[in-house]
Amino acid sequence: MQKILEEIKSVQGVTGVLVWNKKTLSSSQILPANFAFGMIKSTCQKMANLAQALGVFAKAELFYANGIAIFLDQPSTLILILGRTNLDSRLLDLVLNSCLARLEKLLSFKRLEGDDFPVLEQKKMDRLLEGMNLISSYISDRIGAYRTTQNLRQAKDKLIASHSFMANLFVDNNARLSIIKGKQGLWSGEVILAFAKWVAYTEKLCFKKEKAIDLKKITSPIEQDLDEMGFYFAFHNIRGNI
Amino acid sequence: MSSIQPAGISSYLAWKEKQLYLQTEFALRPQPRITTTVSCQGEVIHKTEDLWKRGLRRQEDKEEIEELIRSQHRRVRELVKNKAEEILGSLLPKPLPKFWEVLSKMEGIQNVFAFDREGKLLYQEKEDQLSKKIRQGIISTIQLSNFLTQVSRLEKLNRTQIKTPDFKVILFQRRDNYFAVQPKKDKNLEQVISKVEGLLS
Repeated sequence: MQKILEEIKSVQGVTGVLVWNKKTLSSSQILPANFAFGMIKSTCQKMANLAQALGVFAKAELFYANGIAIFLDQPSTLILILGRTNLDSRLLDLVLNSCLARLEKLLSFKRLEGDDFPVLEQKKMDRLLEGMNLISSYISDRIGAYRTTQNLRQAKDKLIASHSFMANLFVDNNARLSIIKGKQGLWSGEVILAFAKWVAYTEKLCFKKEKAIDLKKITSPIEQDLDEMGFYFAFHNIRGNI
Repeated sequence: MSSIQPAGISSYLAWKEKQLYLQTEFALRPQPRITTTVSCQGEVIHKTEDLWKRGLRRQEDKEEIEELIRSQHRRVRELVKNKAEEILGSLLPKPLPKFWEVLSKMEGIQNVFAFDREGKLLYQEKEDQLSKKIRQGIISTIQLSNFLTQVSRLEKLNRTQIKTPDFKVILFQRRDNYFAVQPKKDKNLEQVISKVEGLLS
């Protein structure tokens, strides 16, 4: 990955490259010193929102007074390239042709393992659980706690094979989700992906083909946190593919 | 005190396919007064206020205030009916700026939409010509471009070109507004850009 980033960065006029992996919801970057590094997560969040609106293979070129920003939506990644006004766009296109294909090859065939995901802080895990419980209460209000519980458990069982940590979660008879006592520990960003799948599978089981869950609306009290984690983006992508 | 609180009144009034809500009530603070507000979709567009110089201690005060509430309510209803254009003019669509008109008529342009800095669509009468997907795409682009202006040294945005498998849009910033230009399908993007930039300069 680093090699590909450096290759793009070596094009005359390119000052920075940010790549957001859609699968691990994590970023790799080489950014200019004048870019506010604390803002990388928020930048990725804005890119994810744009990707949700435009769809895959979209390109947005933003021409500023003092430079250019290029946004690309690829099947496995979202890319932001920053450059000066004298950017050699022909050379960049040539380099991108090769780099994007290699990046796709690298990421789309890669079998993801726990190590590929960044560590998820406990605070974020708590937020995700809070979000899941907001969704669960919403579904319970519509179809009742019994059916919601059954469907959440069925969807969870389906996910255990690919995300073994899902076995550490418990759904009580009132469709309330929690971590099994004694199983609290270190979590990784994989949880975000697994929970997004959990919501998508549960929605399918509860409402068949109807897209009944307006995720942002239901989880509005904690929208900013979930959006920054890429939870909505992951759900949007998964829902479209199941 | 609450037992002798004068009762307020409210009513609706229809004007040019819009529903106006009129509400008259008495309040003691910051000073005793009778107020009628006229609102449309939650936005207050007119307010009439009369001060009440005495306090509210006796049943007689309450009855007198209620009579004033009714008369002020009737007066404001009449006023709104008779001077509707003047009072409610802000509810009507704003006339299109000349720049927009020229842009819309330019060769190779299918449609033009205007947005404010927050991505709110201006001139709502064009809303039905704008698909939800394009609208959301433009709003998210405006958000990303504003954000990049804040966190980097790219400075002011001049234009943005959005290309997706479904549509193409060129976004120009002019003062505090954004103009989204949708070129005709067979038109060369660069030609359209240079024409619009010529107009902007």
